[in-house]
Amino acid sequence: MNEEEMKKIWADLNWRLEESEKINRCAIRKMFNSKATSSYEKIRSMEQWGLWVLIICLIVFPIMYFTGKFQHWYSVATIEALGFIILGFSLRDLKCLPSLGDGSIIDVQKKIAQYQKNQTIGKVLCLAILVLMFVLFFFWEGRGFATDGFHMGIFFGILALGIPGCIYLYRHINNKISEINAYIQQLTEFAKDD
Amino acid sequence: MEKESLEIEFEKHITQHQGLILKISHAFANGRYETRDLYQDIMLNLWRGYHTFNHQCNVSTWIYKVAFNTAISTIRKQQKDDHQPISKEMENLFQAEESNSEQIAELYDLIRGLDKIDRALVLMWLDNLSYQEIGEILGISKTNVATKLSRVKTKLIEMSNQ
Repeated sequence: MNEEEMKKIWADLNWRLEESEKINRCAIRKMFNSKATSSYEKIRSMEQWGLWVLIICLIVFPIMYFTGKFQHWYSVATIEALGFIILGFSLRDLKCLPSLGDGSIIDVQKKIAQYQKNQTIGKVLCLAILVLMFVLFFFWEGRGFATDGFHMGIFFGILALGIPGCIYLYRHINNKISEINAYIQQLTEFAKDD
Repeated sequence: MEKESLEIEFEKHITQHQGLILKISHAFANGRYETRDLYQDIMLNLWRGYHTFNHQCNVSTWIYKVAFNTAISTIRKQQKDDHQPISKEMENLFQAEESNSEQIAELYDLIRGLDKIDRALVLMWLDNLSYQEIGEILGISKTNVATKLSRVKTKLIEMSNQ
């Protein structure tokens, strides 16, 4: 292919593009709307995943006690109780984020505003509860791990990953919320129904 | 009223230059979902910037700048689930554009084999922009444009003959 051939091919492409259907405001609106609703669905999906991870942990802890991995019933009971508090916060957050279906940007705006309100204290409290859970657990069960390198490794691994993981998730969700609010602020003109 | 006239104006410019945005999307992204995602990102950035566009340059020059900045700075994930659906009208537009001749597809493949800045250069050269205009868009001198373009054209021809 030489220069002339490339130019000819490109001219042909330009002709095809000139002949193609023109997009209109309705199509542009739908596209912008989908950006905001897509970010909303991502937050919702992250909350759902977090909920499932939590439920699995709440199931695994008692099993580990009954199989003799954990020594003290009161450590498992306390962890479970604190875990259920976090579960309550998660369910409350998910309630704010129902599936949008064909919802519009205005629906997203309302739901995100409520979710953001919940986040302000909710996530900080949950993180504090998580830290408390680890501290108590280590205090009550950790001594039993002192000679057990494998379980020590798992425990500290969870600690090393879990807390930064939660902080990362919190920041990521906040970024998504800021993104959505930015979309809403700039795209409201395109979000009106026809 | 003012917001609505801004929207109408924006729509007019986008409709006029939709082909340009499509070409840039295809030159800088590969694959069904990636091209559509890039197209949407470019449109979004164009709308965001439109409020402050002071018409000191041509609309097409401004669109090139915004589109190239978006395309060059975007790092894309490849996962299918991360992609956002587009409207039926836009999908029709993409499908019409993608039912291209083999030669057009081959040319796009060659362009995508270049570095991102070189792709921008080639696209503007193919669109018959002057060296001055290309330099203005990329922020480099006319001489620099000529030198780089000469090198890139040689490279493109070599790639097509392989």
